[in-house]
Amino acid sequence: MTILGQAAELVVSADAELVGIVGLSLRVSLTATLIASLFAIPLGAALAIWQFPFRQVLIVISTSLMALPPVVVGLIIYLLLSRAGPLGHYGILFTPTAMIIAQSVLIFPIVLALTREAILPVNRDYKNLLDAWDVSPVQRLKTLIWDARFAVVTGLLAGFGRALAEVGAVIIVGGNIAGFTRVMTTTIALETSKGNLELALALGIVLLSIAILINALIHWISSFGQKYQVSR
Amino acid sequence: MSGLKLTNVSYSVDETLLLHDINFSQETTGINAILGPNGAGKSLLLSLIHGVIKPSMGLVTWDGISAQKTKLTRGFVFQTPIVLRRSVRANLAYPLKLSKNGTSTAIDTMLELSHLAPLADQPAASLSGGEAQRMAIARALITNPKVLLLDEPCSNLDPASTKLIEAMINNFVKQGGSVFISTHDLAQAKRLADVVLFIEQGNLLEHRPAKEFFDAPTTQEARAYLKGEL
Amino acid sequence: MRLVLALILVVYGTFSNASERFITIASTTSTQNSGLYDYLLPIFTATTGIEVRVVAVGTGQALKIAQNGDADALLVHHRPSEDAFLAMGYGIERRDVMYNDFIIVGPKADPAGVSNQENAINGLEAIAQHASLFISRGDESGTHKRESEMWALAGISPNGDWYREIGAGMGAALNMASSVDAYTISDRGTWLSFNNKGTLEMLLAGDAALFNPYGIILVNPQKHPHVKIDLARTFSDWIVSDEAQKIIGAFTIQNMQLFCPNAKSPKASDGVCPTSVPMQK
Repeated sequence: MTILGQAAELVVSADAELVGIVGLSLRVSLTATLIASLFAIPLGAALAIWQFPFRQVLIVISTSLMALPPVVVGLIIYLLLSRAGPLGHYGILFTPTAMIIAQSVLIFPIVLALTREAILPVNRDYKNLLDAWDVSPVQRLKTLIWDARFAVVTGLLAGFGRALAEVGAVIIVGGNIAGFTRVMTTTIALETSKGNLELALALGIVLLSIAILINALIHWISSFGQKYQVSR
Repeated sequence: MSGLKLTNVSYSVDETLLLHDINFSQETTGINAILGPNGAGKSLLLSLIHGVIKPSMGLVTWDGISAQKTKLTRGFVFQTPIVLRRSVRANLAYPLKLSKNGTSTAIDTMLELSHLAPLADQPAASLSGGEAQRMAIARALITNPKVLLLDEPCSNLDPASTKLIEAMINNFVKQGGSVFISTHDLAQAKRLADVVLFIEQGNLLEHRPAKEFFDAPTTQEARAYLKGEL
Repeated sequence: MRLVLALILVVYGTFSNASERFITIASTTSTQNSGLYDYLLPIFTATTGIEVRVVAVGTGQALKIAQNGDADALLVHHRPSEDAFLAMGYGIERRDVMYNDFIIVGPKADPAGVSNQENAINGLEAIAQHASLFISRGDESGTHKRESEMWALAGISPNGDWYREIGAGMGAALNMASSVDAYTISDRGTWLSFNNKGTLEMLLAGDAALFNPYGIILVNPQKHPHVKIDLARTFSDWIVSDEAQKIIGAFTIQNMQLFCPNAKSPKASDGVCPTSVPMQK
């Protein structure tokens, strides 16, 4: 049987274990994206709008953090959440919560940087008008984020895609526990290590399909948003 | 003390003096045209009169109160219309939401007045230059300002668009509003202006009724400017 | 950080704390990859209602996890490390659970002639002599530690182009050996359940020096008061019980037994499990 056929069969059969794994992947990465966005979007917008002390430093740091390998993020979170670490008493190492935290940290700089880039041109357009209207800082944030929402959501989805695809962080802080913290990527790593290359590849194709879906969504959303942008 | 008053107003960026010791007062009636060659400081003067920026030195007051404190009672229209990335209707609704005074009927009235009613639900980005400028004026007027400031609103527009915009300006004045408009178009200034403020290189050289200014300019610079030599 | 935690706990509290009756066991990839846990643990959970969460890593990392108190018990296969762990007071109540053995696998063509050698030491000597490609785990796992000890016993300090330390798990090492026709040392369980053998074959096995015992250790509650010592002890008691030992002995892949239960008689030579060592030469 071809690998594609096997992948299709995996999807069609909707094997309970696979459904659980895909479900956990989506749940963990989606939650991580939402949490990261909660902080990254307002901060990214603030970096685009206002000049303040250490702004450049913050931008350089956040941009550099995008290069952080997931395994390093995983390791840092692991050391924090370990019983021997400062947050050990919460007892959340090797749980989905730990994976959500690691992925939130991992994608925070991505959502931050992409939000900043999304807001910059809108702020450039709007600044004089909003100044003339004496728009309050909070209202200004809301207005700019809302009017840049298509680009902001694109950044958010990019973060989600990154979270969904990474293996290094979740395998360290989640422990790849069967039925509890096992997600798509760690399953692929495990099946590869068992020599089940075809099954691993079939799972990879399932993951790829989800990624294609996400990117199609990004494309669709940003083409929808273009209508509202001034070309002048 | 009623109306606008500028006392010893100067504005500089870094070391460069852009406006130099400007003094005048003006009752808030009619249309005041700010004329002057490129780089004279027309936009800057408009911004100071509006209150969106603060003079480096001196005072700008409206009815005795600092311009910055009352800037929301004045509307500002930029040379290049700033278009919110929303529908035309949502562009008009935005300042209403900010000021929380005004109704949705005001939006419909303004859409009619600016001849944009058929385009109300289009993305504002799809408007032509003239339509976008009419929308910007409508948006500035929707909160019922007493004063409207326009920074070269008709540059780059065709005569038909200019005519529609002048109609909006005249209508506003007819209802008791007063206008400050900077323009390069002398014909437009003659059509509209009751009073002319002529500035050159950051200095206010003439401040007189329009007819007097055009018939008998008193300064060398104004004469040169009207002849197209400056 | 606290805010984030609080938020996550509110949103996801229900599923991260779904079951309080669970234990976390730090164990090795060799046992996980063999599929033993998938086979064994559901039976334990059905009997006791205790969920077992297995974090499968190299023995070195497993020891570290247990030492930090991030697991309730430890199931690994490197006796010297285990003894050190006990001696430092991190663990208590070590019990033998089962064993299998390490084997030398390599390409069918066997350029170094490993299959003709008397024992494992000679086999390694032959590989070094021929400078045949050898994949070392290089990850401080139980298998890697044992491999290093074997080289030391052979009086060889392996280095050179032929000796490749990959810093990865057993499966990754086998995948690599399979794709470059190299030798490597594997535990028998992982080897039997490995599905990408290619031209690899088991070339040398059955040397008593390759005996690979697995033991269970409870994390000392005096070091880490939060560990679920009672639940962990329940598991430890169960896995050495007759019932569990029988189940372990009955676990096969392609009709080959993978692990030999030895809670009662810890010596390989006691003949509890002759099927596991079929290739004595």
